[in-house]
Amino acid sequence: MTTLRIAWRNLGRNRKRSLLALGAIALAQTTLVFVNGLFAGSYDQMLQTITGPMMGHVQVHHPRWREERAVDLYIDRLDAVRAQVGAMELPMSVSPRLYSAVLAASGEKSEQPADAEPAVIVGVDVSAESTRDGLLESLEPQDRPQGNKVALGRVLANRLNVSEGRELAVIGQDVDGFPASDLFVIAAIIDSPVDLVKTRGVVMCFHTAAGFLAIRDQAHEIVIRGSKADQADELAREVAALPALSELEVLSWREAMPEFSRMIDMKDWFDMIFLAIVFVASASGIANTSMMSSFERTREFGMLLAIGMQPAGVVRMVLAESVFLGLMGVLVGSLVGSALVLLAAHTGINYAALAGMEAADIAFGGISISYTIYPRFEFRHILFGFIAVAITSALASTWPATLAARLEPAKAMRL
Amino acid sequence: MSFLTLCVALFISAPCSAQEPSGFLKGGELDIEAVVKHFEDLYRSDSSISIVDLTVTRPRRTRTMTMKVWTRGRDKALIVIQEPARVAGTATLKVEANLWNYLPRIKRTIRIPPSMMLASWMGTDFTNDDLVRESSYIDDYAYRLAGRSDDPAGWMVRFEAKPELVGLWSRIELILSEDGTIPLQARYYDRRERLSRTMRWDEVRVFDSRRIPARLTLEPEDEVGHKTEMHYRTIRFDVDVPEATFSLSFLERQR
Repeated sequence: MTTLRIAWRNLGRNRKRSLLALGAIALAQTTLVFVNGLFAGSYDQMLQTITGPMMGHVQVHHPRWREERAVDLYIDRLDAVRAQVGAMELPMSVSPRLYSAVLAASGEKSEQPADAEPAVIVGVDVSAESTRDGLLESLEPQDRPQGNKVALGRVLANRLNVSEGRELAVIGQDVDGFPASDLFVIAAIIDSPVDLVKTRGVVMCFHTAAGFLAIRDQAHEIVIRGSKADQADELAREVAALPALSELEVLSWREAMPEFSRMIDMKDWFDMIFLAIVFVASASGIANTSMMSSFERTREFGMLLAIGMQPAGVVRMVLAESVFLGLMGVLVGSLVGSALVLLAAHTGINYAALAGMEAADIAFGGISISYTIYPRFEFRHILFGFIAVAITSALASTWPATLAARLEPAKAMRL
Repeated sequence: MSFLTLCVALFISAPCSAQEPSGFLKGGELDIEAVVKHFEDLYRSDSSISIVDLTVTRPRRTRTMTMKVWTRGRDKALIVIQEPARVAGTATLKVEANLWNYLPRIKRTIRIPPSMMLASWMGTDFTNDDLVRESSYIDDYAYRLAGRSDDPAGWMVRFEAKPELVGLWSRIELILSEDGTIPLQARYYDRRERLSRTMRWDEVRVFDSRRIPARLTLEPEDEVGHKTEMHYRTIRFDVDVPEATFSLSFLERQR
């Protein structure tokens, strides 16, 4: 106890130096907590989009669908497949989808025919996709697709110069390749994090899409959502084992989007890199402070040893000074960093605005990634910082402490 | 000329080489100028009306539609689907570089904007650009006789795109019959010198006193199992086609 008290007092003897070292550690820890919080926030957004509206946890396709995306590469006997997946014990939602490349144009009567734009029909199970993490989660019940009412991606709506309540003409081909066309009413315009939906999507109810494509009891994709994204591989294996799906491709989101899966795994490495920066900052700050103060106090250490203090006591004292300093730094840094994360989690950080751009998002790998990031507070970042600083400060002061303990009292006092 | 002249020949038409040539051999060699001129004008006329069966083959299905096609001058064409009944009346109108589609089911006409020109025309292997392009083999390509071809047997003429030409093809190899009057095959190479698609002509018949291949088959190279075939049932050249045929109001009255 006495050692701790002496150590504490010693830190106060050169306040500027102690504060500088403390500041360096605090700054490093603030950076760690904030930057890792930013990463956590942006990766959450990505993962949420992939495993939510975009892919779900597991997807089922015709084995060649992903390669060709041809309208006739469908999952046959949908009802049977759905029934088997639905009968599994795990809690989940099962949602079939249809896709077809078409041309869309304003369907309003006018003197000059409207210009067509490439679009994609996305036929969905409206009730399944209206729940949390579904493609239509953001829509109010009255705006959801139903019958000939469709939801149109925001970018497509802008290109076509159409708005809610207007008619939309869609032309394409049915499953046999013959021209197909229909008029729809735009019930809603949606901003989806799924780039395809936002830039080209004409989202309609599954049966309407099936009618347009002249197909029945078939789907291009079945989206399955289990309880947890990290159990997707397991869920995929169980689904693939069902007899009705033996000839279909069943993939977890990790298998379907390996590049994102790897990116998300890389987050842990980013966390480590920032942790390493905290290590280095605290090690150099503490080593320097501890070394300087030990050298300055050679006479004092000699005196302490001469009046009977054990060398181990000197070591303990020097170590305690450093660990004190380090932990105070990390405490201050954690408080500041956490406050920043919590504040930014509330307001969001708009990267585009910081860079002077007006864009709201950027498309990458089929995901529309918002420039506004909401950092997420993770307690483990603080814990890592504490452990890292405690270890480094102890290690960094070991050498000066050992030197001090090895002093010969008579010689040291004459210096 | 675009490749269109070969396949959708009807749509762009030019002064016709009405007389049937007896062949272009001069001392054992082809008269290249005459051959290319004849080829370019093979299906052209001031105006024409034809009935064409269009068969689109995909890896797992084949579909056939019958179309009636009116052309006038070089840059006006109207294509109306007649069969099968469920899509009858679906029409495409081309006037110069503009393209419109009319869908009778929804009674709407939609304009295909320039940005969509490389997209497929009605789900076939032809692009919208094939329909509207008005380039000419004689004007846009430097051509020369490249000697004999073995498969198919005949003469080969090589067309190299002139540097200023904006287009998809850098080179076209055209193979003609022994007498140079009938095209047999054309191979289209893209700007990266890769074979992109192959066109074949066969079933030579006499239409309206002109001897021309009745069947044209287009096969893209990068899509296995894809093929589009045009089979002329009838063609009447230099018939009276009123100017009003190529208007939006006529397009919408087709059915």
